[in-house]
Amino acid sequence: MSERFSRRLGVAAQRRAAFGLAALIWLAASGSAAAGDVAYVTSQEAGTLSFVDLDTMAVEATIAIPGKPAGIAVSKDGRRAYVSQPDSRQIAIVDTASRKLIGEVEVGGGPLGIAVHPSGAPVYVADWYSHSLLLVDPEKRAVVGRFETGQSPSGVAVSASGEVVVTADRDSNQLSFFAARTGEVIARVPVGERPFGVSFSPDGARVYAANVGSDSVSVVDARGHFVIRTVPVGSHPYDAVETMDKVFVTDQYGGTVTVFDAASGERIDQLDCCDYPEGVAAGSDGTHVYVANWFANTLVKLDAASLEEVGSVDVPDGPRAFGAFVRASPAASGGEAGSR
Amino acid sequence: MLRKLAAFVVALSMLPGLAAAHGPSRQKASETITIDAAPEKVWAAIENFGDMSWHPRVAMDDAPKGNEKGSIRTLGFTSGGMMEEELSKYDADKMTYSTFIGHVNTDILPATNYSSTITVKPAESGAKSEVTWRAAFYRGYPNNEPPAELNDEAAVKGVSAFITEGLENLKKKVEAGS
Repeated sequence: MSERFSRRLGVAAQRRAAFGLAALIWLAASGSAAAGDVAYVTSQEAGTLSFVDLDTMAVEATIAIPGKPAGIAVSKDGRRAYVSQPDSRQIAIVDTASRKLIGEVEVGGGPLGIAVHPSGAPVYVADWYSHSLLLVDPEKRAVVGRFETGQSPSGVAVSASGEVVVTADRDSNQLSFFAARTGEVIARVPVGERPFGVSFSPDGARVYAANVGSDSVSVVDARGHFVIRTVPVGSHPYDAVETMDKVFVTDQYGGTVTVFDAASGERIDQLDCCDYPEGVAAGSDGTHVYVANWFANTLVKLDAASLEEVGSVDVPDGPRAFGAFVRASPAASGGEAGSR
Repeated sequence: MLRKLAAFVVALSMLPGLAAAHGPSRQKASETITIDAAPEKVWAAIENFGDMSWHPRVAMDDAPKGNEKGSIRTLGFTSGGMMEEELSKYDADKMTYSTFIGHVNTDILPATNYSSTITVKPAESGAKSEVTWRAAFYRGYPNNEPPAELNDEAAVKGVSAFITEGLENLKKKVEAGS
């Protein structure tokens, strides 16, 4: 290691220590606990998965993931991350405590959207080419079932109760609702053009689909399976997520985040914050929203109340972070990761 | 011809590896150039969406709706061929605009779904300017196993060259005072 490099490292460590101290003082003063969240950011061009501490907005580690990683899902306990590898037609299994790639599952086809059941299994993988949702058992490391979707399913979401799984069937302009346990089709709901990202509202009452082709978000009643309303957003929306009674939508080509009222659908703001924004997720306490900027190679932190940008961090080239990419860290959520 | 095509498609579908491979992923290109002129002067050379004469490859340009959002310009190229480009964002105060080409003529530019942003910023306290032109796009061949002239590398190379030539000519033009 060159002297200059080690000196630079020293400065970085000092800075980090100073920042940590400042954060501690802030915590003591404000009395509010830090969320202890981690973002798992897939960078497709770089071929990596980065672990970002969302309290300090610092990349703690970056590991190589082959196969042009795109989709991301993290188990509820925060101990396993699953990454879709569309180029190598696999799913990567990552142990979040050791930050190691511990296995890859051959799934074939074109795996893209990915989600994990709240119980920890199965892992749901949308297969772009076979027009089905694959069920992967992370213990057996094998595909153990499949549900028939529409054409080219992209996004996948599982209800918090674990009872329902939804896919955005991009080339059928519809959502498919499945009973998670049986695979029975509950409903096929026509939405806007080319729905891509899909998510449940925190209360589970609604599902949001970002329609890339019609610059809108379809708000779907999760129990009645009908479109409540269609909300116009910016150019080429990628994904949408609700927190603090607001819906945040990443407008890829618009370079904006459109914010609308979850109850009325009325636009609150359009934030000129971003640069080909893609993955979007809320922190575990709901007060912040995180956006991956594919062009600028950053992860941006937005205050969900003030709608101000409150932080940003550089990540490797081409961040997509497609899926629910934020979880409380295993230590913060009571996992055993800290005991190793 | 049709029958041949059908036979080809059948042959393709019999190769599981080919039929199952994933689609292309989006690529990016970005160039910045420093111009020895005030930002206002540089902006004046590019501010009219209907006038792309600053680019050496553009022979003709017409945008009936001018600089309003959604305006379409028809570009004629010195090498032959035409393309339509839409104005998706325009902010004169920030000296920036964004464009979109849904159907790229791959003989001109080996890419598809091309979107770009050009921005003028002051440099050296406003004595000079920095112009950044960035583009995001997919390769020219939308399916698997692209021919070499339409793969990811060719797309990045082709778009980068188009951008660089445009910026270099803009610099030449503005610095010459024309």
